[in-house]
Amino acid sequence: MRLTTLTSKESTLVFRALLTAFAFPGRVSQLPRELVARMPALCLPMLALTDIETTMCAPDQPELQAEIATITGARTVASREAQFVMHDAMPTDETTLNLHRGTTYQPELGCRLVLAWTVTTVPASPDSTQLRLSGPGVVSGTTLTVNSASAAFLAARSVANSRPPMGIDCWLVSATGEVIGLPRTTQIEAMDFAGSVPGKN
Amino acid sequence: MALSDLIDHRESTELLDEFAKREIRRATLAAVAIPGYQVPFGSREMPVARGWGSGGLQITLAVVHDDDTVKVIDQGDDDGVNAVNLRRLVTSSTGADESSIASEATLTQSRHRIPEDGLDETSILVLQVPVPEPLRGVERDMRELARMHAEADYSRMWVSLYEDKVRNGVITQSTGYPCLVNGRYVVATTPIPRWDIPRLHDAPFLTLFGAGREKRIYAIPPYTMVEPLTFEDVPFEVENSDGACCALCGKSESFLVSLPNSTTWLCSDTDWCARQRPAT
Amino acid sequence: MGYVSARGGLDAIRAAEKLVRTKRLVSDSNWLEEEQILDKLRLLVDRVMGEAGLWEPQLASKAIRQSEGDATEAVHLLRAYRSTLPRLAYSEATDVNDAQVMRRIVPAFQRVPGNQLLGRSVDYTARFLERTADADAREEAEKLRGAEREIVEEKNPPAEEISPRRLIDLLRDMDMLIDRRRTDDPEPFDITRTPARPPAPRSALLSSMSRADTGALVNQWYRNILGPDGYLHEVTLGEVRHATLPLNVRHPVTGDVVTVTHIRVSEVEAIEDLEGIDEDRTRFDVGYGLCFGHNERKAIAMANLDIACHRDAGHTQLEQSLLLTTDALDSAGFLEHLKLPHYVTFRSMIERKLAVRKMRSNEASTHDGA
Repeated sequence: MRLTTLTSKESTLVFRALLTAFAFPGRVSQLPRELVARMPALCLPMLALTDIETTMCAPDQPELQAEIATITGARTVASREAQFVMHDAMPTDETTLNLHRGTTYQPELGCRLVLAWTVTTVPASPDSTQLRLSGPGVVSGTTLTVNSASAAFLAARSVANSRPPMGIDCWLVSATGEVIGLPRTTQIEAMDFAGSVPGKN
Repeated sequence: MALSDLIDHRESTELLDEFAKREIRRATLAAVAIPGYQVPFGSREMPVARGWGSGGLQITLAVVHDDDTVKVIDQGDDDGVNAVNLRRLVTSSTGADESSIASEATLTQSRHRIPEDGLDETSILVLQVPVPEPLRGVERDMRELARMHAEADYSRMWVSLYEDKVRNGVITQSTGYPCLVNGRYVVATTPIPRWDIPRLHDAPFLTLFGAGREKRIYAIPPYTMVEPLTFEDVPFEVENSDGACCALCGKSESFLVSLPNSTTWLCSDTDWCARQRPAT
Repeated sequence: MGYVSARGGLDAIRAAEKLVRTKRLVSDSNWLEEEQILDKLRLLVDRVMGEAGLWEPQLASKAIRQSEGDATEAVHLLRAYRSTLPRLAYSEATDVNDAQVMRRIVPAFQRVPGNQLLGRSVDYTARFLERTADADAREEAEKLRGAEREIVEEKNPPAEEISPRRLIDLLRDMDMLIDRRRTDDPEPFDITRTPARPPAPRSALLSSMSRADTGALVNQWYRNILGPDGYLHEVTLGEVRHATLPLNVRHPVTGDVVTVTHIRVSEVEAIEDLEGIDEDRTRFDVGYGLCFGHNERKAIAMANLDIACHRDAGHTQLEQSLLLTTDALDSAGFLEHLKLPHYVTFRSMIERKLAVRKMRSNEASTHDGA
């Protein structure tokens, strides 16, 4: 699949899905299916949002990184400096913890992380964990089921977001274009198998 | 990106170039991720003047596409001249449809009112902001204002409200009541009446605030805590109408505005009012 | 009083537009050509381009004609148009020493290398309002037409006069100038992309002033530098220039540097006498002003305010004032927004006044009852 410049309307549609994902964390939004059919869904956020005035990196996927940079004009920099970072697998803790979190005076400089994610619909199993979400935009009772690699990433994410308003904001994108948004305000707690959060009720 | 991608030789009706829209979108996403924080943005000049909704318009133009339906009001009125002007700019340049019914609109751009009903999880509310800085009344120096927000030091604001209450017996802030969002940032709610403030709290819809002149975007996500600043023993109060009713629809459940005689009252939300009246 | 619903907002707007447009286009006087505005109102064109931050004399003339002579309205038209245009490229940094002067004076010295060139200026022309009859003026114009050709065909002046060494270089030679030249080369702040707030880099301040409303900058100068409100110190000007500058970009294919156009600018150096306690009393410092077109008062104000802001070092709110209160569209737009309906707020204010009265009368009756 080759990447192409998004048209004005395509950029708008992708943006709307990403906006809804941030407005309602944990809830699945859908990227435009016609686009997902033509190119890797994971690339769509950067193709829609970046341009010559932004910085980015996709360290696991140098070819895609180069293509995105050519199409959008975004500048490629190291992950710790980049405004947009893309990974096709869960990043290491070190990577996550080094992402830019902004400052108290400029929290908006926090990194936007785009991660590949697989929709998990099976109920909780030994390899998966169910998580309860809370925070702005989260409808009460929203949960997320993730595998152990994702659970580890989410723990690192919590550390990165431990001093609000600084933090990192994430979009989890599946191969079929489903998006879940986890802005830095979303708090995530592991639930036990009975469906409650350990230590509570 | 090739030059030919940029230079579209067809007659373009776009008011903003693609880069401007992307920048606004990035700022808007940051705003939603940091509720109540005023995100700086480049703020391009628009066909409407600064102070007349250029910020709200930029957000709308960056958000809307031709499958959207847009409602635009001023003081609650779809037919206000500025609302009319903004709405035709939006629809002609984006191809979106228009409606005066909030529940039909996917985006409502408003100056100084929240529609009485019709906003749900599928709605985006864009408020036009004349002054995004809630602390301007107590501090003029922008360096100090930045520090106060960065350090969540809102003590001067509290003191000012306290002095107001002591001097006047009530808190005399009329519209644009300062509120604490998500327990962190105090925001200027724009000159919406106190009547509308409770509907910002834990709302099903996303509210975006656009200040074009001061070049700031901020947001209140859905289902977010919004607390008007007040004291435990001084409950927040909305505008009182002494039981007045609208001269057109007869109802008293909406925010009413009066004629200079102060005995004739009308719904400020003209569309809500029209829907209360049986079709003739 | 019965209530009649006020509807018809769109009709009202359309009627107003039609009225404005008709009155603007239809009249018994001659059609106003863009060329006439460019030619005969050049200083207004230059001012509007400077305040819009957009160099395109033809467009500025159109805007002035459409705005019926309202400079701020013309600026708005240009800036809004600019918002629709994508940014194609960045120019190479322009060296102002490549400027070719059409006018150049140096008040700090009687004689200077490259000479004082009075040039096209009314500074020393008596301000007599000419009441010559049109017919006589046209006759004079015809006579001058022949003479004008002779003026243009004079032999070329020497290079030293076209691009004279600037005064601050001479002051450096005399070791009379503080050296504030940077050794790094930071990206200039782009005020069209990022809003500048104090504390801001000097490039943000200079660009903001370069694009500021002329009247606002003159007023800032009169209030802060020399005037009834604030008297800082003696000011002396170094260079005051009206010059053309080449604008160069890198060719996207060959990579060569190409001159794409020439612009005209007004450029001023303000020589600052340092007399503060912590300042170097043995040398001068300098402030810089540059704006599009021929607009000397703006460039002079800018240069003075640049150095004043540097010396202020954040002690007052001068930087905030210059960065944030001098833009023509921000100030005029916000001012005129007061004409918009404000009846929701007004109704809420009335309600608060009644609430205060009620509270006071409750307190009074409680007091009486006690």
